[in-house]
Amino acid sequence: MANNVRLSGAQTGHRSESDIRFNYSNLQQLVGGCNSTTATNEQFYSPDGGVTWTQSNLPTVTGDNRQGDPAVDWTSDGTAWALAVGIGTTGNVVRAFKSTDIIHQVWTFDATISGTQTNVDKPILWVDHCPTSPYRDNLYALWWNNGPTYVARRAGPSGAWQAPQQVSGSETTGGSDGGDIKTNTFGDVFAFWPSEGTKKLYVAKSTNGGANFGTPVEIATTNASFLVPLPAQANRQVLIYISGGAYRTSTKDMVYAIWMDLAGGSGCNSSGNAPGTNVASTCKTRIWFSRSIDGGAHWSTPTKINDQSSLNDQFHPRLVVDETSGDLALVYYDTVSDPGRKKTDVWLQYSTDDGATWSAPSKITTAQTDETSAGADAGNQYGDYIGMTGYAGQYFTCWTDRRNGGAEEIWGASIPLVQRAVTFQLHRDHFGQDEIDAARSQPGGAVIKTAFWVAVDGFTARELGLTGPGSFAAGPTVSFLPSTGLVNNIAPTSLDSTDPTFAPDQLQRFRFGYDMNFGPDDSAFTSFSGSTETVILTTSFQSMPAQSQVTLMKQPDPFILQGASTWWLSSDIRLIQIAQGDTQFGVTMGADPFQFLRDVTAALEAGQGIAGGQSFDDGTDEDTEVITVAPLARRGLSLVSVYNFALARVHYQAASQPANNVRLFFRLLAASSTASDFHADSTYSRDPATYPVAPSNFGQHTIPTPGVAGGQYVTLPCFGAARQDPTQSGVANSLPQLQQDPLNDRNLPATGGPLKDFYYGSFLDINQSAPVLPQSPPAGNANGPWPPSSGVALETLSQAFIRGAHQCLMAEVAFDPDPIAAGTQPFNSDKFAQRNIAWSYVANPGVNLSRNALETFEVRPTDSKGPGDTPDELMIDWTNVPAGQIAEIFLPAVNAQDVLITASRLYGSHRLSFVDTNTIGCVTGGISFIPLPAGTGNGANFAGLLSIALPPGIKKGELYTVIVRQLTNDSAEPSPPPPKLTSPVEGTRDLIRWRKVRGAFQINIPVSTKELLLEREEILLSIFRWIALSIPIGDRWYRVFKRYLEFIAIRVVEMGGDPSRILPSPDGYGGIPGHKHHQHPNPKCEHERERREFTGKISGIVYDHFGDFDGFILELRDGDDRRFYSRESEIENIARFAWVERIVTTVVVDHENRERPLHLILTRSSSAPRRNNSE
Amino acid sequence: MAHSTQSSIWPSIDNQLAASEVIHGSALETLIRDNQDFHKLREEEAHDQLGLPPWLRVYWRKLHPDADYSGPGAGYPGSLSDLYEWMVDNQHLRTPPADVRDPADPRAPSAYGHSHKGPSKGGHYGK
Repeated sequence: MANNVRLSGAQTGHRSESDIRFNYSNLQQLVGGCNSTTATNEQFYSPDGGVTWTQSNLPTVTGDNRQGDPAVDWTSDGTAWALAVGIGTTGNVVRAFKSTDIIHQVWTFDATISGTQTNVDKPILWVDHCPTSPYRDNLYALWWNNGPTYVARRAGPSGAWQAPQQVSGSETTGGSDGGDIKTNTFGDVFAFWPSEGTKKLYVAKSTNGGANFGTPVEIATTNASFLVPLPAQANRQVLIYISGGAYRTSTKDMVYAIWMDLAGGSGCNSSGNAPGTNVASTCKTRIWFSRSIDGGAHWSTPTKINDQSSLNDQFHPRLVVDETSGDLALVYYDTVSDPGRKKTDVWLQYSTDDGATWSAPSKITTAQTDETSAGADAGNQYGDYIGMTGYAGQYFTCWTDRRNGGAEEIWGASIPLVQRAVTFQLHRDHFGQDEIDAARSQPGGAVIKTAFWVAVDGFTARELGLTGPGSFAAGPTVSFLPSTGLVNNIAPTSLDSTDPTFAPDQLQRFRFGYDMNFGPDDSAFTSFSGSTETVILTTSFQSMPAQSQVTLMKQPDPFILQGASTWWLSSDIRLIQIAQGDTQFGVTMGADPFQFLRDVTAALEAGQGIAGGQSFDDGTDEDTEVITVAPLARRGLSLVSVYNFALARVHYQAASQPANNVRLFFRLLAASSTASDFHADSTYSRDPATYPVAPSNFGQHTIPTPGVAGGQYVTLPCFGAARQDPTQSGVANSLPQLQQDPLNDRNLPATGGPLKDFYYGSFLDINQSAPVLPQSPPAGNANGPWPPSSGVALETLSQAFIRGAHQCLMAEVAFDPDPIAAGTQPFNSDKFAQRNIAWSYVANPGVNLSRNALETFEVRPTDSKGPGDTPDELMIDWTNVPAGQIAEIFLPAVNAQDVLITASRLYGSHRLSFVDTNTIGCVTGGISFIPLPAGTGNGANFAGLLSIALPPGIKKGELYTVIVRQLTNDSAEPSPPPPKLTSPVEGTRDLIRWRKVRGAFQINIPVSTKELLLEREEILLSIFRWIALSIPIGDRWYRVFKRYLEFIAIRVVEMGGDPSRILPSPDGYGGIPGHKHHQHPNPKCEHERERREFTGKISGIVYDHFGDFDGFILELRDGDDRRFYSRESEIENIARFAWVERIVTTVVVDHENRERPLHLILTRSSSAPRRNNSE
Repeated sequence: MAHSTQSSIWPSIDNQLAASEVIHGSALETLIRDNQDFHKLREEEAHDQLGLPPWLRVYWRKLHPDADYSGPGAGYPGSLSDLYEWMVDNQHLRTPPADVRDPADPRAPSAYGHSHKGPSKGGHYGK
């Protein structure tokens, strides 16, 4: 369902009957109005496309006791206009008002436009909005007086209202209450009205801007007349009110009329058959439709648009014709969802073929209204009409709503008019032979899980027979051409939706997932002679075809693999965080990180992936898989240095040919990122002196340099050798020519046949203290050196570059015979891989933000390639995150309103909301799509912050996962022979178009306890506060980082810490009171210490890698675990005893050193307490 | 005082006053008593579902004698129910002060609201 917003504000007085209109010159602006039980009509205004609303009132005019019957519109000068009936004890008149202030809070009386008439009712207002109309900005008002229908016009804002002219004639008897007036793009004016006495509907046309109207033409005969009582509105009854529309082009001259009437047939074809309050009546009301294809001269036989078999009533239809497309949109109340036939929802139907066919109804309201229950305004109930406006693909409707059970309010929604479409979304569009061969030898075989999706838009779940993720078998079959070696005509294996509940009557985007099976042999690759083969993917669903293509590649050269289905988590990349003295792959970390690298890569290569009893492919855990900006780690009571490394495994297979000069370039991105595509001239830049071709006498291969985009460093190369001193003297940009990296520049020998693995490695020196990089690239010297004489201030890598707790790592196999093409993504190439995973801890038990997972990230939307292209989107898979939670996406370069407006235009439904100017709210569950407008990034990546609130019920040990992908457009000429297939929405006859994933990252959210997390969070806060001091105001990261720190500070509070005491510090510990670098804790006298106690049972004894006792784990009474550190053998003995005997134990600690036991108190509850105290 | 046109199909004056919770001595009471000439109405109006009291219909017809009262809507504007609601809530029938004066307004002031100084509506007389 569409997001419902309250236009009228919370009300205690009753509201009913509403009208609304876009400012056609600025679709961000809407004006609306409604009846009010106060003296004057209430007016609404939205400056942001209907997201937020302000309220005001029309002024009172002498002689009026009340106002009613709101009508609104805009002229192109930005003046908002309103009509109302001025109701007095001696008669009614039609009043016009206008508003010209910027925020449309001030309404002034314009004129009484009904002349001498005093028995008027139901004024309708319409402005000729069409820029090409000769009567543009003419205002037309239509109403009823004493029986006949009248029209008054005004020639634009500067004109004057002309005297009313009667447009109905003698054909109209007994009143004509409930008319409409509209124009087409040629300026023709159409006045519609009912003749209550003769039960007919009429239209009269003016071709001279309303100067005069032609003879009325009969549209239809109705079953009932005037008012129809029905159970949902038996008191006020429902008026047979015409809603009209017109659309004219050089080849079309359409006029439309829509109205409510009895359903017809025996027992339901006269006013006396109306159901009244009888909910069991077999007579019901329906929405009727008729059209003219000749400018209103002749009309089609009326039809019922949605004639359900059930006993329900439809009423208050409002029709809109989009002047830019001719599309029709219709809203109305329907009681179909209430077996009691009294509660209503607002439903939408639309037509994109001039009313020949209509979409299935979809529900707009998110809650029902009952105007028959206690508290309702029994006299007015819903009033006589609801509002609707639409232009250029955007639509907004408003209605009387009493979902809160109190007074009637006016609610509204930006409503989707989503084109039905079937579109391929490619998770991957290139597959390498090496990779598939490697996968074939693994469990599961050569099957690429969820290789692509087919997205289906514009349908409800009911229409497609989908009831949940298990309905995937209802999806379309996909075939391949050529299909050699592939399992062909495949069915989907998964299904999800933008609405995880699969609400049956809601428009939503469905996404069917498909696995690609390359079969038991290599024939998919051996069947073609060239280096690549294009495979066409074809499907058809609901009579709509779609097509896409993928590429198969033969590349018998060194390669690096992606994850089988999670290509952003390459299986050939490992990240290592290791403290001095710790051991990985059998190598103990000493003081020389490069020696460690050399030893580890040599050991792994010698063992072909096995070293020190560890396998390169062993499952990784979050504590060591992440790299850290903290330079210190606690080991027992000491703080020791900690180092970050990346390892990469390159595969090579050749009988006799070596592969020379195979280099591995490691790069870090500032945070998690979807902007990882390869561009050797910018984001993945190389030393320009050696790239693309090194001088023959240079004697060195090219080296990567910091990537730059939008005047910012966006990637950072790291090496297996020490960085060159950036302050040494030298000409601009010459620093890379001095940089050595022999560990990552290798000649790979022939393997003699079998595949062999080669290991590369890099020191990720982001936590080192040496200043080596400017905050932003100096003009003309992005690569250095920057000697003191240059005046360039250098900072540490963390200050200058790191902008989050996690960074994306890219690994690029630089092999000159097979270069990586521009735009390549890790899934496109077997030379390019990434490790893009973040671990964001949350606390249990925790309060509020301590359960918020936080992740900074970068995205960079691509430019639209054509007029039919939709913007890039973030596609967020919430996987196992509990549905219904709130996530927020803060993107300072993006206007949240633009995002919401685009989302409303693109999707049948969404769960996005406006949080603030640059923050989009998103309800978790299933899958979410978030449009990514071009924004104001000036070419740089957009910096962002994602926060995900998890519910109170999460438990320690649980792990939640979120996958964020960026979708973008792709297209190609059809391969010969050109299959005659296009995507129905985005496609043209010339190109096939599809969507593909541009980049992705994953966030893992482990649940731990606040006790275990607090110190980590405090250290992070201290280091990040230090980094924040270096980020200039105006930097793309400034606002994101500021908010990030605010959230972390709150997390610290909610984990039991005090962020106000945490100071900026490059190592974290230095900013936390009580911590001293490499020293034992605060030696205060014991009696001065503030003590804390923790009681529970010891659940584990901890030993370090040498087998030495390192502390124990206490399982607290609330189920949380708490880690205590000690190297004392007596503590070990006591802890082991308490552990074996399951004795309740109280650990007393110093408040400022809560991990070190001061006392252990052992309590045996079944007998007299027995205590053992120990320090 | 209006002519006595009461017939069995129309409610008694007491019932009319009670149905509208009329305050004794108010301008509204005077207006109701002045508009009892129900012969101006069609008999079927006694049973239609417009929710408009007969005295208000008579009053409106006198104001607008040229209107077409033959149709199912009986010729009354829908907003007449709003006027009725206002009358019941404001039985002195004095039009409140306005923000704007429209010199072109075609309506004459109501005699009831301007000539009668009835008691103000007490809270317990609310609609």
